[in-house]
Amino acid sequence: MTQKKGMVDLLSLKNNEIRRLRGNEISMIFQEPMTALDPIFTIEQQIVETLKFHKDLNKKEMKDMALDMLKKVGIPRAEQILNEYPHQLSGGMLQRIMIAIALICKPKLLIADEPTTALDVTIQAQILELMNELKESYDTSIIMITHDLGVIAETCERVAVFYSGQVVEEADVAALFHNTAHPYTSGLLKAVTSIGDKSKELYTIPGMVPAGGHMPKGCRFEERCSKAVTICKEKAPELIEIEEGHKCRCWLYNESGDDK
Amino acid sequence: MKTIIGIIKELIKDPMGKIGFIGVLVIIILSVLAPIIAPYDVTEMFTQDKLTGPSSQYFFGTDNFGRDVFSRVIFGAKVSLRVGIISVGIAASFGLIFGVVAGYFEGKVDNIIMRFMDILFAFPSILLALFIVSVLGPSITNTMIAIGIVNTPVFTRTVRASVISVKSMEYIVSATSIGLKPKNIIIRHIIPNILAPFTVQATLALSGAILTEASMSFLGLGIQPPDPSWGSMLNESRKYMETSPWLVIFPAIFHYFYHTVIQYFGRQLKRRIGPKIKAVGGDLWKIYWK
Repeated sequence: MTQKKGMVDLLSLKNNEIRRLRGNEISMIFQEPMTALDPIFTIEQQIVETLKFHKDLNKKEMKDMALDMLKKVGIPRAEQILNEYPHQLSGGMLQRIMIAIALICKPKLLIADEPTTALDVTIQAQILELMNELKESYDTSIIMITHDLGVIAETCERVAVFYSGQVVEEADVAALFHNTAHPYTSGLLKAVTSIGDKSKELYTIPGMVPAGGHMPKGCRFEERCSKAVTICKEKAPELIEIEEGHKCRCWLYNESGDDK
Repeated sequence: MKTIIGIIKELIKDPMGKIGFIGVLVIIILSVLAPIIAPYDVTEMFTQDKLTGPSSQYFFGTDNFGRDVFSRVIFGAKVSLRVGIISVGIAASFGLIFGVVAGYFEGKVDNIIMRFMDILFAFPSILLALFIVSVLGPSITNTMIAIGIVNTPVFTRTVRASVISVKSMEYIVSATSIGLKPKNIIIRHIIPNILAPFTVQATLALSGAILTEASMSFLGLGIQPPDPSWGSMLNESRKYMETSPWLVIFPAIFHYFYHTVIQYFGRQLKRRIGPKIKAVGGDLWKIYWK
């Protein structure tokens, strides 16, 4: 399965090969902890399920691992929780359990799809802190999918901004916030509200995302862009490196002659 | 076990549920104890006592052959229940398989299965059942098969709809994300989650199946004489209805009782465990497997 130096092309894997990776080397946590756990199984059964399919352990060992993992994600009275059902627990607890399930096989990559959206702010902070801690102690990489720039600033090292299914800007987190290149990213940053903000109306980017299947010929953001020029309408820009480690998909940074 | 008791407790909180539950209990006891309760053999003819009214010797009177109506009604109940349970079993098993396959894989398979079910659905159930029996030949087994086939589309639709709604739940995506195969997802996560509506559907289909059996027997294509069946008893006694009304009244009352009680039971079950589908489903699943 492994090619040279442990590199694997995930897209070329067959279904049963990729299944061996799922949950074992790549795992995922979801947006809605309340619905992401099967309502009819106890917490223990759900944690153990992953182990059953990937590791060759006996019942006792699996239970011990589950218990250990629950303690690591900060669940109080873990022994008891193991025998409870998802509907008996709160959203924050369930998200911790989701993280426990995702990390139980010590995956190399954890995909977190808006893991804090359904949680209230204090729990959000706890969960993010927990994920950061575990990232270090488990030596796991995390792909964080979110629309919350606050979460990005707090947890991420490298950021890719998507618009209409394309990466429009990619940069280190500091560069993105302080040296914003793409008009869409700056629009997003402007739309962030803060408690001290006294303005009556909140900032929005005008217009709508183009409908799938009706993508414009030129830049996908052109219609809503305040800095649009003529070429934007005619030709789609490429993602190019505008400075070291900072890529952007915009004609504003592409005028310097290397455009074909 | 705890869950079953829990469901029953929920059920008998409501008067209708109480009637349904106790009624079903009575039905089961009557069927199991039929040979003990019935005083005479169902085919035994007391030729000197033809068409006598209800008395202490013959509780429900005798028919034109001098057979004891009470014994026949009791045994008829047993036959009805057996036909009902087995035919619903057939319908439920096929419905579960077809429904899960159609709902989970969708696309072409779904279309083929569901259009075929639509064809079955398009016929009035009695007509279709009669057609099947006339092809296979009238007998108790073929009656069960026919009623089973007639009821399959309802189960398929119920199961398919539930599978589709469960399939879109995040825990199914999550099950995929930990590397489960579709087979495991279906068996471990989808089927247990649709058990509650499925069980309710089975209860409701039971009373329908009993009714269909009686209608078929009445028309002469269901249970064959001399086996007792309420439908055929009603048919045979049509000619004597004016002079010996007990021949009609008792099977009809029993039939009414069965039908009503099972309906009550099913409806209350639906109302009581419906909203708690999630919590109950898993426990039902465990019960099924223990």
